[in-house]
Amino acid sequence: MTPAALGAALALLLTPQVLAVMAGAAVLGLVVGALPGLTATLGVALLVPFALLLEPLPALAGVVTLAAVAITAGDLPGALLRVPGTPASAAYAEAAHRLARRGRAGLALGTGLVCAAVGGVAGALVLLLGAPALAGLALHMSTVERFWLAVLGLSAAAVVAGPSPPRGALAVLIGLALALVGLDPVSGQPRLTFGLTDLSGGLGLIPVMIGLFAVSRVLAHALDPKTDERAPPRIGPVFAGLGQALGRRRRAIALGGGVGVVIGAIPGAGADIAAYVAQAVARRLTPGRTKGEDDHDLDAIAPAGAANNAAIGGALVPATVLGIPGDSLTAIVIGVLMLNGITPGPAAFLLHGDTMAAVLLAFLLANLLLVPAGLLALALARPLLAAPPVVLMPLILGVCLVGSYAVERTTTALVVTMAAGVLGLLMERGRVPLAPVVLGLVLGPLIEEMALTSLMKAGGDPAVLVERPGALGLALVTAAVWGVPAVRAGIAHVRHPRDSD
Amino acid sequence: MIAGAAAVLVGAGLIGVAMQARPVPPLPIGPGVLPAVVGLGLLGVGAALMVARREPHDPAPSRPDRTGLTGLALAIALPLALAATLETVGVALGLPLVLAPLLAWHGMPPGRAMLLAVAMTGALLALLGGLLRVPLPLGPLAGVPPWT
Repeated sequence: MTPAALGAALALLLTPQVLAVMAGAAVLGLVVGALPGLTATLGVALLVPFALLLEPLPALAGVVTLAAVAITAGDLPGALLRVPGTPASAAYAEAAHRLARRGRAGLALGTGLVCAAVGGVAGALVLLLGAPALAGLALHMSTVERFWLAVLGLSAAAVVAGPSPPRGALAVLIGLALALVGLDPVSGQPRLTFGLTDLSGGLGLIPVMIGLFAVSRVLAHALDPKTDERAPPRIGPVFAGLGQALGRRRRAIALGGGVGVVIGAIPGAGADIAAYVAQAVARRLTPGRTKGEDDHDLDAIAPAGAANNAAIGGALVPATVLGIPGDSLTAIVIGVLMLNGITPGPAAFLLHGDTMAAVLLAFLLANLLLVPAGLLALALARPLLAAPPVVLMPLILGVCLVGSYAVERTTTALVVTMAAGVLGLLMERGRVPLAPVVLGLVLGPLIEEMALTSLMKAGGDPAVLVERPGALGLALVTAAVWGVPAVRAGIAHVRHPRDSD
Repeated sequence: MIAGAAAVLVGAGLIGVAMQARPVPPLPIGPGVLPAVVGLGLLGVGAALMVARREPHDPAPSRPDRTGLTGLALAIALPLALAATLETVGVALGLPLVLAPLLAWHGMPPGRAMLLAVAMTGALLALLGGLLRVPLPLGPLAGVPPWT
């Protein structure tokens, strides 16, 4: 982008109307993101009717602002109530909640906010400067590479999320088993629906996520009310120790941003895979930093938080340059572009160059707005935590039930939410991590569709899964994710048998 | 040990489901592939967890008492009753009937519990229905809120 084009785009962006729409969208994004069950996608969808009444630039600036702020605001219920706002934030919601129960929610949320802003800015800069090149790379990913990328994401989640890889693997397999419910994505045959038509679309992600993370906590409190009295979440100072925490994790944040941009740009992948892969990559490439419990949890938040928002910028690359939506959120962005007379694709940058550049700058500005918006959300959340658990737990249950119904519009969603809550309670008592279940549920249909499509194209020959160099490389990385820790543990067992016992 | 045994049972069940799934002609593969893979995975992981020794720092989960189990039953049964009646009763009337008994069970006086449950429901309805325009079933109160 030339300086003249940048100046023209800035002149279009920095007008009172555009800035006012962005501020309003940020407030709506805060409300939507902070409410368990309401997602950034739902928030953007709610904004679409208003976007039609506006000029193209304020409409699109509002959409990208709402998306960025809502995704980051989802960290708030994640840290305070252990209810992740998005599947991607499930990767670090438990770590943030553990910090909150030790009175360090401010540090957890501050770290998440700054990492999200850094990741988002990285994504926006890549979008501004290198979109065509990244889009070309993303287009070279066939169904086989996408299959391996999803398997790599699941493997990373299994290895990094649990107290041990077998328990992490069990969580991933539970998620994949839940993903089996509904119509088979290739042949359309019903599976595990028990004759219920409401289940033919599969188990809703939001009811399962709400049940696993929030309802399970309400049920655990009902079973043993003393649990929450011992350590209620507290916000604590936001800035104390923040600079040091971020400085020590600058490599992890940079890695998270890079992983988020690249994985986000691949259609069908997205922030959820990016968050777990970023955690695994950062753990492998920046070892030896962890000293205490707080450090361990911050190590989980920093790379995944950066990857989460960087992936939005990545996902906007194929959406704007090629017109290919990477996820449901970017599909709505494409819809808003088209409703405003801009057809996404290379021609859009030629015919509406200034507007497109201004939209990308709006995304950059929205990511810079994240920190003040997040601090405002923190200030508003403080009174909520003053409520005793006996009041807070039924309140959480009420929000969860209404949120589940609002998203799915069927009472079956309430039953699914409660069943997932019981499952979450049992998993917690068995020390099985919850977050990989979400990733298994999200990626199960994708893995099945990609694998079966590739196998069918090859006449059922499984060699097709490793024939392409990219696929073979991803398969080897996946094998290394499982193999390296196993080999290290084996060596440690041989050298120090008593310690490893 | 229990988690491992449960994984083995579910894994065996999924392999049963996979064996019943019909392949997509003319290929020998189809909707049974993923259930079979997941089932085998659960069998393997379940077996690994069953033979693994409990680590010394593993805290055993506390054994729930009768009061805790009653609270748990209440926290599960009331939302399920709401699910069964929501379309008829609506959120405005149904949700307080879930929240008030739970608040009272945790020691709040019944009158205060009902008042708080109604206030919480009203706030949720105003936020979701009024501000965000998310349609929620209102049962007999349909048309009463100003935004409907």
